[in-house]
Order: sequence, then structure tokens, then C-alpha cells
Amino acid sequence: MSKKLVAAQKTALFGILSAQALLLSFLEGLLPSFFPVQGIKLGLSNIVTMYCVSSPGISYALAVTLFKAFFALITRGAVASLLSLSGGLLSLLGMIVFFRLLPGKLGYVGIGVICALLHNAGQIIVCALLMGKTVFALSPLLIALSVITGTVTGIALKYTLPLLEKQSMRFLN
Amino acid sequence: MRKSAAVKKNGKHKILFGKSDALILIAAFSVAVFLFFFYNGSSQEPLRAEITVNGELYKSIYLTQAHEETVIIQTDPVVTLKVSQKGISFVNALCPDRTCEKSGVLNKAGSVAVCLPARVIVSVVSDKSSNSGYDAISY
Repeated sequence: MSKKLVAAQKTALFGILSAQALLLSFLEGLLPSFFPVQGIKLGLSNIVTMYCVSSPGISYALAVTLFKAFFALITRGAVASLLSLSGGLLSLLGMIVFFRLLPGKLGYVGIGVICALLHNAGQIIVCALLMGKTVFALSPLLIALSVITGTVTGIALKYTLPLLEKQSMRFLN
Repeated sequence: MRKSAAVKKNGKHKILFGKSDALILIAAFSVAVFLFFFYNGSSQEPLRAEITVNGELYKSIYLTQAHEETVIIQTDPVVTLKVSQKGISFVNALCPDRTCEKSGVLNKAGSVAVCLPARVIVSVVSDKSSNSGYDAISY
């Protein structure tokens, strides 16, 4: 197989995974808010990045995270983009640690919760830098909700992983 | 052949929920509960709403008195807050997403609402938990 063809296949896979990540965040935005607080989302698009780290590679996960931040920049502005980036990169770090460096230490639920916690941590730190440390008063709520949303994404990852793997095989074989 | 092997390996490789996962859940919940009490303090004391703009205290209003007030903050976008005996709430923000309006009336110590585009934070504190003196209070 020529190098060019492989590069095209990788680009195609990146495109489809990014599209899926964006679609998941769009769809969860349509759901009525389960939570009594402003702006809390399930973080379903984390499924895609978690899958990227666990299987096709960290470079895909990084590319999807950056693409999501870029999409936030053009649709929702600089602050939203910065929040997406800070949360995304910090939770990516957690995924790399638990999928790659310490594989098998945690189940899907644990990894999902850690990533949700890190995602929120990244966002609240950027919020605090922009607006002052009063926002940290939101942290107990965010931590408690991360446990719920992380569990949901972890379970969802477990059951979508074989399907995502099948999809990747279509592109990379 | 290779396809199914890869799928199987990934499906089996990891467990869904184990002991260490349970530990993480418990640890996270305990931290949340601890921080909740840390921020809420004693709610017997008179409640005060603090409005922060761009990281600086803009205004501080007591919520216990029969006192109604509309606060208009000239940020970009302009933010309007309503203060009543029930609590403090964002009435409207002239921005597209309006997430802050959905946070409703704040009336418990520790509750916070944030308007990200205008960089306005409204937080309710009970006086005992904060040590700012009276000189910061204006009506």
C-alpha cells in the first residue's frame, strides 16, 4: 500500500471521528437539561476521544480535541474555544495515563469519571483566571456531577467501542 | 480474521467497573461533600450576594432585608440582575446563549451563577464564612 493512500485513509478516519464528536455534542445540546444547573452537559463527545486514545492512537485524539476547540472558536467565540481546549487537553492527559501508561488499572467507568473531572477542572481553572476565584464555589457541584456524567460516558464507551473499532478497520485496512 | 481479533481483544481487554473504579467514585463524592460544606459554611447568618465583574467585587447586597433592587451592569453584553427578598437572579443578559438566566433565583449560601460572556459572577455567601468587613458593602 502506498504511503499516500495510508495518509488519505488516516485523514478520512480523522474526519469521520471529528464529525462524530461534533455531532454528539450537538445532539446532547438538544436533550433537555437533566441537571439543575446552567450549562452542565454529559460530555458524550469524550467517548470519541477516549476511543481514539485507547485504539487508533493519541495523535487522533489530539487532532479531534484541537478540531473541537477550533469549531467552538468559529461558532461560539474565543472564550468557549479556550474552555473547550483547556478541558479537552487536561482530560486527554488523563486518558493517556490510564489507557496507555497504566493500562488495566481502571475500568471504563473509572476512566470516564477521571476524564470528566479533569475536563471540568481545566474549564474551571480557565474560568477562574478570567473571572476570579469565586467560580471555585461551583466545584463541589461540578465534582459530584462529573461522577455521574463520567459513569455514563464510561458505560457508553464500553458498548460503542467494538462498533468504533469496526469503523476504524474500514478505513485503515 | 484480523478484524475480528482486534475487536475481541479490545472488547475483552478492559473491565467496566472494578474495585479501583469504586474507590474513585467514593473519593470524588467525598471531596464534593467536603467542598460543599466548606463553601456553604453556616447558613444561619445573614445572606449576602456578591457581584463580581472581571474578577473584582462590583457590589455586595444583603438578601435578608425587605429590599428590592434592579442592578444593571454596563458590561458587554449588558447584564441585568434582580434582587428581592427571595434572592438574586439574572433577569436578562443581552447575549445569544443566556445560560445564566436558566440558573434561576439564588438564595442559598454557596450558590453561584456565572455569565461567561460578560465575566459576571453572582455568588451568595453567608457573612460568617467570608471575612470581608462592612466597608465593602454599598446599597
